[in-house]
Amino acid sequence: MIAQTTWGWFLVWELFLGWVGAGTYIIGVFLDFWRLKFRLASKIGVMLGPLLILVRTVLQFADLGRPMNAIYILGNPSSMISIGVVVIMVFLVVGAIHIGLWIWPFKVLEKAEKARRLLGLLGVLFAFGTALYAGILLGVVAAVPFWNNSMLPALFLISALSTGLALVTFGSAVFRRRSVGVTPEDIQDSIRHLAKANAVLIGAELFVIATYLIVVHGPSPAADVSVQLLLAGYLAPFFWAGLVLVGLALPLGLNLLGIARRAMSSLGMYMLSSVFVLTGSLVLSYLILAAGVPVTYEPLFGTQAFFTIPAFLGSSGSELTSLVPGMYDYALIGAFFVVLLIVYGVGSVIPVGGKK
Amino acid sequence: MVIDLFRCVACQSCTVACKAENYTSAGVSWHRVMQQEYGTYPTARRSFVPMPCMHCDNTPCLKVCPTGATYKRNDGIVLVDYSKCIGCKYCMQACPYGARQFNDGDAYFPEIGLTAFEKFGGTLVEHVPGTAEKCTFCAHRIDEGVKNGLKPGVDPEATPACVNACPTNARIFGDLDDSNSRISRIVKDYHAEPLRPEFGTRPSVYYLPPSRSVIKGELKW
Repeated sequence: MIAQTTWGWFLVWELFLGWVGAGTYIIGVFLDFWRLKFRLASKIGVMLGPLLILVRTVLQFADLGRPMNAIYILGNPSSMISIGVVVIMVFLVVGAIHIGLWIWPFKVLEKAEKARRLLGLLGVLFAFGTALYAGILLGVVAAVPFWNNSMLPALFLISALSTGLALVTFGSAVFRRRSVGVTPEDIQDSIRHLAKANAVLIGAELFVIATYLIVVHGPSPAADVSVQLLLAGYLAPFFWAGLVLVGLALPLGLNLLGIARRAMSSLGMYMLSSVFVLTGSLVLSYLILAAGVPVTYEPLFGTQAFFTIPAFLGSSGSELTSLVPGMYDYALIGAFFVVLLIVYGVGSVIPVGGKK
Repeated sequence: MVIDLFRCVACQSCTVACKAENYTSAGVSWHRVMQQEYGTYPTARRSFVPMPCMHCDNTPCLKVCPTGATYKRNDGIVLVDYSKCIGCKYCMQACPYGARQFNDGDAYFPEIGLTAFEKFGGTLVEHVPGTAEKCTFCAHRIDEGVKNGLKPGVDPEATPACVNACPTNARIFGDLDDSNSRISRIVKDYHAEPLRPEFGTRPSVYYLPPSRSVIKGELKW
């Protein structure tokens, strides 16, 4: 059994940015409905969400074999890609209006609270679509039993909300001196609330991932191979160290510890926890794609057949898109982690916009 | 198409005939021969499974194609309109038979680019780098033959190259819609089965069992 080599790192980033962007926007809009001290977090969420989705869309465009033909992408309304592109385009337009009228360059919506929230709710509708569509896109692929599961969109959604919260937490900690009308203590308090919510979400994500592996581990040999790759195969280092430890256990522990201590110094812990969540999320996106074993090499007939290989190797897919871990994959995820750590280090020492 | 697994000797003539006929680029092989073992001792067997595109009636690649580049003709042949394909590779993921191949535009001799032969082939059969390709059932041969009043499956000029090339006559081509055609009778009478029926794709390629004892009822598939 061979894992799919059709989709490579481009799609890993697309999935990751897709759910982070959508989740950030969703969290941002919902925080707008809360007290004034969440206004900073809300603004960060609404600002970053559409920007990340924009980057994601550019990546998707670059990933195409013939980008100049992209005009045809709406040709088949029953294809998840066509549906997703429409959803993302509408989301980008609504997001742009939301940013443009609230944060920069105009501040019309600062006073018009009702209109802002209504616009936000409209955007959230499409943000949910953006977060879910990639999960459905992979989920309808019957030829890859590891993806062909109704739990996958749920995993995408919960991952979106969790990473969204993490990014918003991180952002409000970095920009904590930028807020107008509230004390730094209030901001600390709001960040503590966000961390509390994220602890719940990380717990839920842990549960969903565990359930997913149990559910998918069925009679299909290809899905069995996928689960084996994750738990004990060549993807095991990424799964146990990258996803379970760094992505789930450590941030959960840090958030719980920070909440228990109730101290101001917990801010750094929440930020570090966000760094861990985001790195773990990139690893999750990598693992979902790298563990996708297609049925192509399942026995073609006969229940007792036990292996199928090409008698002549005409390879499909290239080494470029192979997600079998090599130096490149470790380096890329490691580099992402280090960059986030540097941002964390700088951001926690020098808060942006020190007016006070 | 019916492929008799009992007759197949895995000589790869079909694979080579396909490449020669369609001038597919390096790394792309529209036709593959798989091998697998089945059964238990003492009836264990090794069997070879030639795999072209199955030209499914319920087409997974057509359903997921966002551009509508993949289309099905009235005679059931599934083709790709390369002028519309954007190369998103969704169809490659969706096909349970692995029939789709991506054309990276690789040449066999990268240091000198495309050879004169490859360039000449490109004028006969359309290949666009950056698109997902697949077996066409040699639609160009069928069309040409039918235009000249020939019958696909009977006259070699109107039949896919792999069928003509098969030295053991393991491949039988014809019109499955016509219930009186030779191929329809073979499918009915000899327990011919498609691959991966659990996906509900209703393929147009049927396989005869790899062992005659299956037809006699002594061994299960």
